[in-house]
Amino acid sequence: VRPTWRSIVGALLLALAAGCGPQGPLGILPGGPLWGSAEPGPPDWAEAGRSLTVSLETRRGWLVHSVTVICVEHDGFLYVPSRNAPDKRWVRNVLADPRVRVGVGGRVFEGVAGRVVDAAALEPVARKLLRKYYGLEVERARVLVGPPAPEEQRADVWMFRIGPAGRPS
Amino acid sequence: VRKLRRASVVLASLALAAGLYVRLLAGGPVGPLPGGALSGEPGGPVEDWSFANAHARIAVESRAGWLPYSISTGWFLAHEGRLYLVLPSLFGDGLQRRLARDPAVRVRLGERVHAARATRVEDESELAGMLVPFLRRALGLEVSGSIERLPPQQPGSGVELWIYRIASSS
Repeated sequence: VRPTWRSIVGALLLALAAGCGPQGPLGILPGGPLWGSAEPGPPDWAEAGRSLTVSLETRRGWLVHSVTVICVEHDGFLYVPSRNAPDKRWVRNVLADPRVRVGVGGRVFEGVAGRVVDAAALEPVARKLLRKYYGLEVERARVLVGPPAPEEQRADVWMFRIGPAGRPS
Repeated sequence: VRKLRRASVVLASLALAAGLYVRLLAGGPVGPLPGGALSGEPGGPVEDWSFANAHARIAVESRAGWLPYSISTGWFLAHEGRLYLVLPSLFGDGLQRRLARDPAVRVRLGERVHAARATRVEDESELAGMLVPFLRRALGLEVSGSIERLPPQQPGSGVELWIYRIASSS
């Protein structure tokens, strides 16, 4: 096959399409809309909480962006942390438009996401995260809410809570 | 259909070329993609790694396979002058498998590349000492009270945490 300018432009358009659609994320690589018709968010997100990772679709205007994230379920909500959150496109999208879709086990669920800044409410979530993803059982784990001080060398971690669409997050 | 097929072939070729570039010529990992041999200024032996905490990321190269393999990660900590590398199995075991075969590594902090050795940390007291500051740095979590490492779960279903101490090669 001899590449022509048209095919190169076509390939670039295909590559662009892979980033903005027509499929969800591929491992660490972000993607576009999740395939499949969305169902209303489950009442407890337990299945999503059992998965090691889920796909999270966010939007801003007509641009859709999806990523693979880690999560835990707690008290009927799905919690998703984000390291160095202010730099993440999906975080900025959620702040602009809280409607999300969550892909898990071949199904897509609609939900609403919001940032949680109540450190006390996040303590059990942090302990679940440490247990699930790092194999650590800790007595107390306080989420450091708020940006790190300039001299403080730590990640700016934000926690998002996802509930079914229609249920306040 | 012919145009779409041609565009797909070109796209696949571009992706392959980009992959080969990152793996062979980029001088290290590019974003989340593993790379090959690290480029940079040669750095000498390091006694005190405390300066590492000023860097957001570290690149680590292993030559255990038939091609150099390197990753970039923010999962590290300098604590009491020692440098620790933390590899959660969630991110894959490409480097961990290589370190099990050959502990010799090259690490890049900033522009300097240092020859070093990676030793798996199993001592519980040493782990307890570094985990608290590590969790604060990497996850923004202030952990207190008891910390217990849970036994590894069934393969494929759980997540393991591999922790290495990086020391300059003598």
